[in-house]
Amino acid sequence: MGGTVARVTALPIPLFAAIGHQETWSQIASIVDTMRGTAQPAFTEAQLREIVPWIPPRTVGRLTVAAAPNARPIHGIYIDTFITPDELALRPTRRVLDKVRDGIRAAEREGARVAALGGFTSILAEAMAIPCDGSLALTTGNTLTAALIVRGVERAASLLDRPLDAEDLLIIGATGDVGSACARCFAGRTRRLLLAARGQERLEREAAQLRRFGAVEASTEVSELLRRASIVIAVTSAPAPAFALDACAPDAIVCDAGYPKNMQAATSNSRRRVFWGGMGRLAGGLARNDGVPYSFPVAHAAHGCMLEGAVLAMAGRFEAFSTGRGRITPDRVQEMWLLATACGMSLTPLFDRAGVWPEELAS
Amino acid sequence: MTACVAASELTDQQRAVFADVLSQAITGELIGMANYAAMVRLYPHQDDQRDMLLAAASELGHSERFRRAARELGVTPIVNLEAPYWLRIRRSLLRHVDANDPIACLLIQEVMLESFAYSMYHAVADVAHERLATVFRTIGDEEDAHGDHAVEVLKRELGADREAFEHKLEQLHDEVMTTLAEMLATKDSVEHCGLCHGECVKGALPLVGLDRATLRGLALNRYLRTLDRIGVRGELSLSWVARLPV
Repeated sequence: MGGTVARVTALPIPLFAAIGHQETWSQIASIVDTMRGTAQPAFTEAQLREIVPWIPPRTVGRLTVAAAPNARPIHGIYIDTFITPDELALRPTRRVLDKVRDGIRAAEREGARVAALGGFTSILAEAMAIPCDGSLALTTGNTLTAALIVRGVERAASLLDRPLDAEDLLIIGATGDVGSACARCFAGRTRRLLLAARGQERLEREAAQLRRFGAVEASTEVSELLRRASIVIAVTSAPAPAFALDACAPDAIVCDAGYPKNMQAATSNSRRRVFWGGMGRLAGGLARNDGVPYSFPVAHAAHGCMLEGAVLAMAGRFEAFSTGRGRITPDRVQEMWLLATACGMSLTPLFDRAGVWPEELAS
Repeated sequence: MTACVAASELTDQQRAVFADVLSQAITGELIGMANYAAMVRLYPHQDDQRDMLLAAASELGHSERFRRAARELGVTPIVNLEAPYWLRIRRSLLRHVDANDPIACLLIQEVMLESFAYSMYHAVADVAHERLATVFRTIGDEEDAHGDHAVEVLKRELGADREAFEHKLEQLHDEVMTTLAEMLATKDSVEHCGLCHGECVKGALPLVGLDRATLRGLALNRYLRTLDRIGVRGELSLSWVARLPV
């Protein structure tokens, strides 16, 4: 018999929903195999490719979050859209857009009051302008993601004793919703701001607005800027790692906040320091009752975009806080950060796939 | 899936594939007819009994239309109510009729069997020549129409006692959906399904633009969506579907 799904007589109505998708087939496998139970062999990747594209978006995890270990928890759900990595790699099809729409409908069905859209779902929902039934507010989660990226970079610089005003900070994906928010937050705080994005016109517009705060360079050629940057924030919507870590300066601090990850693994040892940006955790934990693995080297860690829904629900603000289209200002980032910290949320210790930074462990 | 050529241009192999598909459809409809007829005695009120008889008559009508379509195509379908998979499903339903459990019967007939019928009929309609496509599509839509009432009944039942409802559904799922999924799995648990004219038709489906994996996916997608409409927890229904044979 499968799974570890709890039996309940009445379901608590979730106040928030997080809607997302997995980055890799192995992450999808971990969800489906966990649901399948241990009595049966794990699916092969070929079997997963046969099954998963047909799974309608649905709740796969029920969560409780709290502002403090003994505080009264609130309920939430995680809805997976089952958009596959293969589908992400292509131009969005109607089928993929329908999955986002159906994920939102699933949140409505469950009675959630606010839903945060993780990863590509926010980009797609923004493009579609999906209407809700009125009782569900949609937030992209990008303001909290931006806040956590900013705090993460500040922490990395502090841990490594590298004052920001002596650094050249590159933002890859600088015209995106999160990237542009980060650019505004760091404008005038670094020696030089380097902005990279694919669209020349929007990039120039973004750079022009920031030049009044300090030195800003903008280019669509990432490789040249990568070599010069001492801090890199990678936050593009590339469906797969698109930038070589080896192309970064040897002692660069790299914040990879892409989902899926933006940076390819390094092929050689160097002094570069990489961390996964946009990750937070709640003091009251992220308890779950479904057995679905959501594993990071740091306990209770979760993506900022997912946590934004929980924060808004804990604060009783059932509103579309982040609406996309590059509207995130430093004031809104600060407002979200204050809301989040009041709810017991903090930045996770810095980590990447190799584990937690030794400086974090030492501190 | 791609559309098939006109009826007059079908090859013998393509006709043979449609013959086996029609054998499944006709037998499935007759099993449906027998199921509804058996369910009459579960309902004390005449209106409900009449609804069951009407549903049985509707299923009989569907099987007749499929037979006519087979004749027009020039093929002879196999009609076999003792075909192993269908017999297993029929016996499951009768057990629940004997247990005087109308909810279990509705779940088997209106949710599980109809999910497979609806999705298969529409998939065939998408690739068949115009006349056959119309038959499959029309019958598929008719199957869809009488599912709404069942969903409302089942929603109320779930609302009254979620735990008991989901527990019952899980048992039925293991009993019936496992058999239905086997019909579209790579390996069969029976030597021969009793409905194909020769070797198993699953391998030949691509000849008419169908394929086993897509049919399986469409059916389970429809099934999960129906369970979602009833209000079954998404993580629970996924855990059940994840353990079906592939």
